[in-house]
Formats: sequence, structure tokens, C-alpha cells
Amino acid sequence: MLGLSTEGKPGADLGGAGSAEIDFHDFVAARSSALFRGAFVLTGDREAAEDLVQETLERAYRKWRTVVAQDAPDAYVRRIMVNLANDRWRRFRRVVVVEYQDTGDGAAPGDEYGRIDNRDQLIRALLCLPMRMRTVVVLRYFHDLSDAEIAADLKISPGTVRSQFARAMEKLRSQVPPLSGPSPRQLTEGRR
Amino acid sequence: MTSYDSRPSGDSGYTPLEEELVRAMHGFAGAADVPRFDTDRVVRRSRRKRATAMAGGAAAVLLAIGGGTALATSVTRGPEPLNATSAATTGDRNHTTVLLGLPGGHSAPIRLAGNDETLAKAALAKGGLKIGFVKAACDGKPGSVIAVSPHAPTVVHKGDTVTVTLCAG
Repeated sequence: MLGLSTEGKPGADLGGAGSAEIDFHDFVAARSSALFRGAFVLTGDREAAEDLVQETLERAYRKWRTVVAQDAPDAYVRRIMVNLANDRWRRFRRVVVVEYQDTGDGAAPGDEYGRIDNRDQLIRALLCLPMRMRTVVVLRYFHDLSDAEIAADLKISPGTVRSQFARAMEKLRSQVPPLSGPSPRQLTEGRR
Repeated sequence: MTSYDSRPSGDSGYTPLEEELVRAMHGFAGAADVPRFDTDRVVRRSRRKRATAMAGGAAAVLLAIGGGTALATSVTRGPEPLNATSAATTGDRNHTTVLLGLPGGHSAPIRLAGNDETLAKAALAKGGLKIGFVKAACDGKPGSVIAVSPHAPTVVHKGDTVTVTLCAG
């Protein structure tokens, strides 16, 4: 996989199917669904997520030699994606409204399935966060990254990550009613 | 801003809220129906973009190399989101965007640019709209949405009929 980083100038792969292209195919086949799930959590909308992944893959393809030269091409491509989401936030935000009005119709608020309701509400609350905060939360909990890794991905300081993260969690907490079931622990730990 | 204790470091240290959040995200993501990503399309599009960034002469070279179709599409499908990079807001793509009126006087765009019949149908049906399809000759990708009526800035409501024009190829 790394061998192709030595391939010629940008013009070269315009010509036809070089080895770079084959590896790119493999990457897309293997990783696009994971990327898509990440994009879906980030945008809350299937169409927007698809757009986001499509554009991410295009960028990755254009920088493919850089991508495959990374220790973790996966992480590098995800980084492209989260930054793209942050940059194009307006474009992706507008679609979220549709999705969330829709599900709002479907699920009755006083649903007996409290847990599902809670998760649903958490997702809603998450999707109401500003994109930057949301990105931090998603990278932390969905992709399981550390503060330092998140900071590197977003090119911000770890301190900023922590403050964004703390504010995001405050907001989530305030927008989601206390978890109905096993919440005594949350009351003490939740405030921290 | 380190006055807040940032977070527990391991999975075991998660608060119930955090645990629930992790589960919620995974549940949400897992429920999504993953689309297929067509590598050829990605490759074609990124070349097209690179080509548009280059001077005209380079575009001619690309044509000769066999990117002819790609270039042709880039010209005819100008309003597509990915080509309209920086200027991409409502203006350009209005004619492929349905503006759905929601309770409370809000409206939400349903963007159909680049979708095919199935996707368009699904997106519009989700908004409670009725759909009519017509075909029109175009040089773009056959089957893709090239226009919709009524489109943004006109607002449509649940139960309204929307006519979608597909590329006949």
C-alpha cells in the first residue's frame, strides 16, 4: 500500500488506472461504511452524510499519496471529514431540520419506552449543538479519541477541546431530562 | 477552562449520561442504511474538480485522455452542489431544491440535486409529498434529477404534488 507514494506527478494518475487507484478502491470498499456512520452521527441526516462522505473521499483521492503515506490512513481521512463538516457546517445544518421534524412526528413524546426516548432526545440535543462542539463530542464518544487526538484532528489546543467538551456536556445535560432509570449516580457524578 | 473536570479517562469511568450517549450514538449510526459509494464516481468527480481548477488548455488534454464525459457533465450539471463549492448556498441549486413548509411557519429544504428517482422519491415521500416524474433530454447522468417544480423559494406543504424532472440521457 505504501509503495505507491512514490508514484509520479499529479498529472500521472489523470491518465488511467494506476496502482493508486486500486488501493483507493480497496479503501472505499473497506472503510466507507464506517466513515458514513461517523458522518451520519455528525450530521444527523442520511443525505447530508452521504454528501459529506462523498466529498471526503474526493479530497482523499486527490491527496491519496499523502493519505497512504500516513501511519493511519483511516484516521487521516476521518480528519478530512470532520474538518470538512466544520467548514461546511451551514450546508449540512440545514438538512438536519428535515430529519428531525420527521422523527418528531413519528415518536410520541410520552412514549412508554423511556430509554429509547432518552436516546432519541440525546441525539436531538446532540444535533442541536454547534458543529464544533458536536464534533468534539462525536470524536470523543463515537470514535473514542482522547483530548489530545481530538485537538490534533481539529487543529485546536487541548484546552479548547476540554472547554468545548465541557460546554457541550452542560448543554446536553440541560436539554435532556434526568435519565429516568438508573440515575442516582448521575446526580452526583453528573455535576462534577 | 480546566475548572471542569474534563472527562473520565476510561470506559469504566463513564457517567450514566455518557454511557447513554455512547449507546445512543451507536444505535443511531447503526440504524442508518449505508449507501454504496461508487469509487469511479469519486475519482471522476475529483478529476473534474481538479480540471476546473486548471487552465483551459489542461482541460483540452483531459478531453483527449478520455475524460470527455466527465467534462461534459461538469458543464451541463453546473448547479450541482459539488461544483458550486464556494458559492454553494441556496441560489444556484434552487431549481433542484424543494422547500417544505413545516408547522410553525418554518421550512426545510429537501435537496435533490444529483439524486436518482429512487432517492428523490424516498426524500419527498418522507416529507409527505406526492410525486410526479417527467423526463427531459439532457447531457448529464441519465436518471438524475435535473429540476423540480415547484422549487425553492416556493414553499410546498404536506400533500402537495411535486413534479420531478429526470435526465433522460
